[in-house]
Amino acid sequence: MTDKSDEELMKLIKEKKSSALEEIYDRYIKLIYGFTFKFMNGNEESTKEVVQLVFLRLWTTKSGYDSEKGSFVNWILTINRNICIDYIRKERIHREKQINMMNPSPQESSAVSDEAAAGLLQDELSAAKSRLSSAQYRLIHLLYWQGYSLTEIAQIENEPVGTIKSRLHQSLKRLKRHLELGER
Amino acid sequence: MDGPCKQLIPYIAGELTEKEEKQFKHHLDQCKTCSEEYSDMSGAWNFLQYDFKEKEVPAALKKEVMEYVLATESERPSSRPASWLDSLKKQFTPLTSGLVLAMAAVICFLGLNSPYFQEFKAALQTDQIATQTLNTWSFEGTDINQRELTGIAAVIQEDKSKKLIVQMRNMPALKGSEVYQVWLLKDGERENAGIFKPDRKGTGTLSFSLKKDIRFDQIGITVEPDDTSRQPRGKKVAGTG
Ligand SMILES: [Zn+2]
Repeated sequence: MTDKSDEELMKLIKEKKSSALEEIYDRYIKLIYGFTFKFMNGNEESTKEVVQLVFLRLWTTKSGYDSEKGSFVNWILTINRNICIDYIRKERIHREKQINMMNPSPQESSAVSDEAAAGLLQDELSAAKSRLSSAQYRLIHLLYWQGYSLTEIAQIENEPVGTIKSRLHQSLKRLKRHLELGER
Repeated sequence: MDGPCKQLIPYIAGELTEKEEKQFKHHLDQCKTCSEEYSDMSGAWNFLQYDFKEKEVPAALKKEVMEYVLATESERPSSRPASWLDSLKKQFTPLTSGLVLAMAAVICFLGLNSPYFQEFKAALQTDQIATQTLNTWSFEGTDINQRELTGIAAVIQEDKSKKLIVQMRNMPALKGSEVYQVWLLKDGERENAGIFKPDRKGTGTLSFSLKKDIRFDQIGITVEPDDTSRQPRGKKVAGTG
């Protein structure tokens, strides 16, 4: 199995070869675990549940991975994020917990590291993020890592949705610009 | 940003419905502004996914994940239609997959809008095995406290042989040597049609070869104390009307 590409492994998974799923696990568990751990705010029990759901999805997915549509890591993390969001939205409904409006400061939570993470240099993203205003940073955090929708964020911030959308637009463009500068 | 271009931000944030997303993708192919903006912004969006720290993975996790995946997949007939058919396929590997089609045909009982039916249609298109479904039934529990209990049966013709297929769900758990036994009813006479034991979730499947000239009107299922009953000794738990 170790000589197979990710795409080949996903084909074998469709044929219900569990050894192919194990190989995917070995290759990507660090990535999936770290990503989920952050999403679950460091709760190990939820992290485990979500990781199980992610692998169940990989095992039962009908759509499969198509290498023409982007990198495998991107594909798998998109699935991972969707499952995280489903999970925390359900939790949120259950608990109606208070929205934690603590303003996550760019310094505190922005370390990046994973050798599988497409060669990204850790400093690059945090440097780019440090160029964001605190409102921009908060938006990205709530939207990407807390699974709030644009409409929900508008309510949280007490601003029109249009404002939130254009803020997201600016934030992403800003990030992109600084990431590009970093790449050179 | 006007008209369809407004959808770009919700599209990136993954907030469009499936239909809207389809429409927007179409727009994206044609609108130069959007496609340029999109490639900029989605690049940054995808970068965000690497914004986490590496964390030590518990050593026991792999075993737990694999066990969870394999167990859930074969045990989840009611919540995941797709795997229900898959698990049926597995149970019938010695027979042709035509059987699965026959069973799927029975699923039409559950309604055309049922996801099972969609699955069935997909299976039909990929499978060419000639199997004929001769008759189908649905089961009801006899105890009103067992409302969850449901089941379906079909008689199918495969080449020269006839088979009865029964699939039951939410069957009460059995004790000790107890088994469920299937009976064919004709004019008050009961004929044995095999036994089965449900899994932990209460799902049980039976495949029984029928005599060529057999005739019956109804099917009943009883709990029998063991697997030696020639006539029903135990209580009836389900029947076809
Ligand atoms: Zn446009």
